[in-house]
Amino acid sequence: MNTVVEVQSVRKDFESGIDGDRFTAVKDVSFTVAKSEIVCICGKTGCGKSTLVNLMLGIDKPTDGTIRIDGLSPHDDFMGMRGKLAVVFQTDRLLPWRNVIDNAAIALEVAGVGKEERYEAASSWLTKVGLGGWEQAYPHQLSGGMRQRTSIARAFVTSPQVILLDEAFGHLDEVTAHKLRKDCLALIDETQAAAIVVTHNISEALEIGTRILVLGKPARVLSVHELAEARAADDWAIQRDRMREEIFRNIEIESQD
Amino acid sequence: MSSEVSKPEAAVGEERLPTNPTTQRWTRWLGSQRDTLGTVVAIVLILLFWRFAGQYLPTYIFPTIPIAIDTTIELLGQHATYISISETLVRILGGFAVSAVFGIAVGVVMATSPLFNFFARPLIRLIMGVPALTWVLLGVLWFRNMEVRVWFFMFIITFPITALNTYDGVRSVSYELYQMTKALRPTQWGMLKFLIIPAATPFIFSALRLSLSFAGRIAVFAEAISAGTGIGAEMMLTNQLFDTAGLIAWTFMLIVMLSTMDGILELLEKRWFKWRREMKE
Repeated sequence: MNTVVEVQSVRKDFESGIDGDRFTAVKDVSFTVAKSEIVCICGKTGCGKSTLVNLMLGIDKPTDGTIRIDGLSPHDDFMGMRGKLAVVFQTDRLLPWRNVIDNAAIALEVAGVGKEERYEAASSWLTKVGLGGWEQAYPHQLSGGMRQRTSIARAFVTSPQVILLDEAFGHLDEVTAHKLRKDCLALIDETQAAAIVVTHNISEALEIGTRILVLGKPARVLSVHELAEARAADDWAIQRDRMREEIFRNIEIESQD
Repeated sequence: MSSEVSKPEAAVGEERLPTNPTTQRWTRWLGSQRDTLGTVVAIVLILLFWRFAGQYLPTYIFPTIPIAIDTTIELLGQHATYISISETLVRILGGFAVSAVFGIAVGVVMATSPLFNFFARPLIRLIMGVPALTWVLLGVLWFRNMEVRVWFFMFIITFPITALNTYDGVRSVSYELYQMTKALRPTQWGMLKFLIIPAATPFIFSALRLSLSFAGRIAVFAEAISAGTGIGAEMMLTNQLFDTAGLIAWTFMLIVMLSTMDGILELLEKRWFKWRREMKE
């Protein structure tokens, strides 16, 4: 198995601004993600998923434990990770003063790629996400789904080894979310990238993941559910319902504690 | 027999509007030209007052409109007038450019360095609290060179405006966009180039327009007090000679100059921040 992401006993404490007390957002999280694997991280709102995203992006440094992406620490080897890890957030986060192609090409521009080359790459990814012909439009001229498609193109433009989807379809209507999810999965499959999908939607995790990690609060792994083999089984529908109930129960019991 | 015909849907909302298409066109045109009409009405009122005052007051207190126009035309026919205008223009643009560059740099550093902000912010507030006259008098005492004096006044009055607005602009950058840009792993300069500066530019531009208007007034004020050349010095001279028509003519030229500069900035603002206006719409 070609492991791309290694998260080992990661802990993140923050200092409370009010009384100087420390609180733990991520208590103890360990997991690995292999090439082409889609690992879904499920948990209730406020369980520390966003903190985990920031740690994986290298924006925050773990208080304890290690994160390795392709052998590098996203925080300590910050610049060395350029282009290897991409993220699609819940909201599109497009820069409103840049048109679609400039938004899609920004990761390449940051990496110092020449204009012609980056436009060519961005244009190709925009076509793949169904936005061919919209290159010159500005974000405010697009629908929510089209904006999110642009942000997907922006994420894939550097052909990253790891792609992080942070509630990427969470704010879209069900039909648009379904279409976009399907297209995004096809791109992940095409690029063979390792994907980490952070979601609070258990059904979504069961639909797309090869593995599901259920997080408690503060973030720690409550249970792991392997889906790749189960999905191939004849009784997948029954297993899926059982898993959904189990995940739901885990999270529910956790919140009562 | 009833001949009642139901109104088409499109006409429902227009029930209270005049039905005559020509009248409707005029109403729409008047609505779109409201700002221009307001300006025209204000100018007409000023001209009426001027005509009335010019008729009953002595020329050295309030010259008539024809005298003021003649004086302006006469001044515009003199080579020295253009030298004075260009001297003031260079001072305004020079002082404005220096204060803009310094103000933007200070504002960005203030917003990104808490330590620098801790010291700089109270200092800038203090500078802003000092009356303009104090700076003018201090400038006269501190600097011998007239050009340095004028530039000093413009700088000290306008740079805090740019610095504080830039600070606010940088601070207003959303965390979501910051997180997205940070995830692309730019250098510090890249962060400024790709996110901070473009996001803060609308704030900076508003500050620059305000600074320019201040710079114009301060430059003329400083020229009047401490320089021997430029529009301000010419205005001071007209005042000493009780030449009110000359004072009005120079004021008119100054207004045209400052309005033109502001107009250029407004055009640039409309062009560069088109996305912002359309976004609001």
